[in-house]
Amino acid sequence: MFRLIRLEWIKTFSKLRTYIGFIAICVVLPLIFIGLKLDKGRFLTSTASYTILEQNFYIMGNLLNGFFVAQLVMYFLMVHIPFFIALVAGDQIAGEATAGTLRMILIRPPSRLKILVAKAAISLIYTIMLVLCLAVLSLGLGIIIFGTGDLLVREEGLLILSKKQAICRFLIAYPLAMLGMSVVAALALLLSVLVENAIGPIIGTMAIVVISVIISEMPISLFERIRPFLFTSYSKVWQKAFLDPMPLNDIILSVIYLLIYMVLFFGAAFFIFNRRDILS
Amino acid sequence: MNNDIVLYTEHLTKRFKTVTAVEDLNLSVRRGDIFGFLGPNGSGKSTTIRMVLGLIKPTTGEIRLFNRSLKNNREDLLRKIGALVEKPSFYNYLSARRNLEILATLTHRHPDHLDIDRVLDIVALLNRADDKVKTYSQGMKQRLGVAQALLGNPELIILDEPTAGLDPEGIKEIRHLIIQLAQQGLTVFLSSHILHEVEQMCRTMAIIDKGRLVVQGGVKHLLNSESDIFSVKVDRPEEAADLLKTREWVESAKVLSGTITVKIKEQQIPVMTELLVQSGFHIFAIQPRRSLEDYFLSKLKADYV
Amino acid sequence: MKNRFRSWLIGLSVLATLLFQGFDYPTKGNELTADDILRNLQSAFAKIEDYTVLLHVETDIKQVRVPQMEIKVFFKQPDKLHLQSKGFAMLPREGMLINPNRFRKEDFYMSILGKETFKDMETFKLELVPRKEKIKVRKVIIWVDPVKWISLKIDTITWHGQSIKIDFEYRKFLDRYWLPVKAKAFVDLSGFKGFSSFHERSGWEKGSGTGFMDKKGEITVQFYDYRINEGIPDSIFDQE
Repeated sequence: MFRLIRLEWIKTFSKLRTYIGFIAICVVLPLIFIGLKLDKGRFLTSTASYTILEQNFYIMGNLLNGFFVAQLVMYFLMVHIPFFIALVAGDQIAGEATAGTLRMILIRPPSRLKILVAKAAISLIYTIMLVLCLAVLSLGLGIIIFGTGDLLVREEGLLILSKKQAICRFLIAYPLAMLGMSVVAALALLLSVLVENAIGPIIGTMAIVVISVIISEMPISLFERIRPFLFTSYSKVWQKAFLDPMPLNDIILSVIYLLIYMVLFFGAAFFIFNRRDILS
Repeated sequence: MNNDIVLYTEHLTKRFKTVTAVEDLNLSVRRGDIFGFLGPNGSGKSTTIRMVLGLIKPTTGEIRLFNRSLKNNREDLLRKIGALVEKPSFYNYLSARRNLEILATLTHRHPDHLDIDRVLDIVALLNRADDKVKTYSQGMKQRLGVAQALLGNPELIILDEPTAGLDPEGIKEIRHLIIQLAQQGLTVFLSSHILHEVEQMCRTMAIIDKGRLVVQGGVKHLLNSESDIFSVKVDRPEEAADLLKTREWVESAKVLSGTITVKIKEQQIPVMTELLVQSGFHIFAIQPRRSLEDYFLSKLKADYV
Repeated sequence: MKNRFRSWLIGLSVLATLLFQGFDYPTKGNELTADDILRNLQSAFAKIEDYTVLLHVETDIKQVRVPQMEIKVFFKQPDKLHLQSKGFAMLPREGMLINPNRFRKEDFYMSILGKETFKDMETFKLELVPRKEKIKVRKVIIWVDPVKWISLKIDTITWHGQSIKIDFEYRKFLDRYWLPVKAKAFVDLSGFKGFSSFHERSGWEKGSGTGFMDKKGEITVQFYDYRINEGIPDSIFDQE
């Protein structure tokens, strides 16, 4: 199995598109951070809530710190990171089908199941690496540029986590983010199995993600009923890692739902791929 | 079952919703043979090959390779087969060597680098082995396609239209290569719609049309066994053809490019000559047409004859 | 005996004179004006030239959850103030760090709302209303201890409707200076929405609700390690 994963690694990481996500993060993050630095935290202090707080309280400490900006860019996880994941995971089968290489590998001894497991593994590895890149770069660069401090959580009300708490919460949030994004990878792989053109799974995944995010976020009562069935309602579970007290039960439940979605998506992908006639 | 049979299909059928691509196909390919699998475009050749290689699941029927069922022994059996299915496709962003390493690793746990060099040498690509495939010409890709089929010393190689898209020089090279491989004892299953190709290279063949097997046997034997086709050049060919059609010993007669193509037994030639002369036609020439092309056309019973 | 009585009487008169003149507080019997009361507060506070104190701050507001905070306060007359904190800290701006010098006559209309018993003590209830809108508070009410001339309670209402009510506990330091050792602020941060750009529907919020009440709560401040009149360099106050 490991040799198959190694082969998928070679194939995936020899392609330019695999690096688009990393390049985008490496380019966009410094730009955002420089912008925030030049802004001198005005985007934070100019908010109505900060004004109210500042009128009533002396505010001390560095709120615009590395932790805060790292948490801020985690919101990329909602749309941007899924796009990069779809770009790679969605290409795994459909891309090979389009290029014609799928039949070249499927006429070899390893079963379709093994090949798809290797592709799923590489999709997950890529997802983890991308979130890890986001984590290391946003925290590292954020701390270098903005220093450390207590973490102002982007939440209703005012929630400040101490430095120690913030580090712990990031250590919980990033794995949760990886899990949430893994479901996107699983979805992209499923769509990749369903169609035979390389663009379809990417557009399909993004369409599902964007629509689900809209339904998950819009405060419309009709959507309330749909929300529990959307994986995007759970893929933002990482946000809960920053709450205080941390809603452990909610997090565990979300993790279970995400795992169920992942098993469903991967399971469906395996089922379909195993039965599919390769006509490309 | 005979141990010499490396590929055997029994009542092989594939239906795609309402379309039957392959129906009740029984094939058998002997060890060491160059087997021509002949049929017009869309006759079901590629579907059959894809079923043999496990890319398409048969609706019914069985495929046996080396006397074992493909269904239950897929992994073992595919290890003994090398194949080129239609147009060869590679990871264009990788070198030829890297592509072969990937494909070899899929076949055998540890790719044998000597083996990779060997197959690259066979197809005369060793000097370009480290160039990215995207820099290759179509002919080079086709050769690389044959090379990947040869990885791991397979006992059977299945080549689906191996000369498609090649220039005459490339076609010559590939044909020469296939004959060489057969001389080394490999069994070659060659699918083609080019009759001349099969006639030139194959010892046995099967003709398939509209998913059904038309005939199967030795090329030479088949060419000599059945009704022959003759070209008859006469004045007023349309009238002559109409006359011939009225005789029961004439299987068919049709005018093509001013010449009548007649399908009759050889011993009926004097009778035909006599009839035409007596009917006032002037015969300029009667030529046998025993090529595979004629045989193929006659067997398909399409509108060719 | 007569002389003895006379000298005792003179002594008593001198003492009484000293007593009344020694305290520099303007009094007109019970007819103190708001101005007088504020001046008394300022005079009592003026004895403290500078101080540093450590503050331990705890909040108990559902919608305002911050870690326990440690703040070091530097104060120097008349109104130099510098706060230091290693991490994030917030401290009610009005009232918590008492400085009666801030309430200048030209900035506030002052009036006595009457006397009110607070913690078993009859206090003056002083109302200060800003003359200018640039002053961040809409109204300040101070309950003044007429003996020690210290603020026992301060209520502040801002222009945006938030209110902070602070009760103080005092202790005498160095046998002369009355300074707070504990303050309990009752805070109402209505109107404060927080820093989320969109609504979250987390379980935490479902459980607690996001209503008006969640923005009310307490801030408890403990003052310790006072260092009074030890001299503080001005450079401290130049720091950001």
